[in-house]
Amino acid sequence: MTDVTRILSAIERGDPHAAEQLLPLVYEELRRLAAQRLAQEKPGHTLQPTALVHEAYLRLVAGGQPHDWGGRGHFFAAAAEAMRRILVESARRKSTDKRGGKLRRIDVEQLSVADGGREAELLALDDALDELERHDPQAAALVKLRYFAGLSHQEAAEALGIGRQAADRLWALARAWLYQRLSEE
Amino acid sequence: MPGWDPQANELFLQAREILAPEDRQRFLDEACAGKPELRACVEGLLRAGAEAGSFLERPVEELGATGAFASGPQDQRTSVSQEGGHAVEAVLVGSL
Repeated sequence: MTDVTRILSAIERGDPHAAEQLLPLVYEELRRLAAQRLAQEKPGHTLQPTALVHEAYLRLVAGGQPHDWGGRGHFFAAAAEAMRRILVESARRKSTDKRGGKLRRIDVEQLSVADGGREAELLALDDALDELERHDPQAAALVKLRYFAGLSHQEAAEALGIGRQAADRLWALARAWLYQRLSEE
Repeated sequence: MPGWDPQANELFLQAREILAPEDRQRFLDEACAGKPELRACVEGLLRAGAEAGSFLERPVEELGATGAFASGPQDQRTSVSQEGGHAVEAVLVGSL
């Protein structure tokens, strides 16, 4: 049993401290995996964040317990948040670099989102997601599962432990609200 | 800046199920009678929902590296290939 599956089991048993141990572990694994994959590629190649999330799941969880969607849901929620943080940190770094002055470290750990101003969009979405989370944590969790972990509508509903119809309504509201929030900035 | 109004949110979810424009207007007329701010809020969400297109419908794409692993020419990002068992994909516009 890996540390992650042990933590997932503890979360399932209701251990209130277990959830906070999960995020740093998943975060480190995702960063390590990304760096490893990028080091194996030719310069200029890129990775799909959601593919990394699923690879991390296979490495950390799939071989052990739990297999039920409750445990998987906790894993993917942590992985979505971890991937969001990795991408946002990267976008912030890139934004700072573009404003000039800062030397770029040549380091495979310096993960980066795409060029072309998309880091600004990602940072705006990150702020709006924080706001959404304050209003409706479940709606924000759903967006993260879909957008940063790449889960399907059905998988995301199961990860949240809600019905598909309820998830679809939550998704419609979250998407409209975020779109409006970002459009008016 | 849109706020967060649970009543408007619920009306938005109900109204979006009503496809015929005249039926939707009638629903809003009744539900928001005497409450223009509420109506504006619901209509703002309906408009955003209609305009959102593929917003957030596709997962975030592309993770590369700066420094020695920085991307080459911009158009390199439009290539799609399969290496090392995982997709190496382009930036896809429309997800944000």
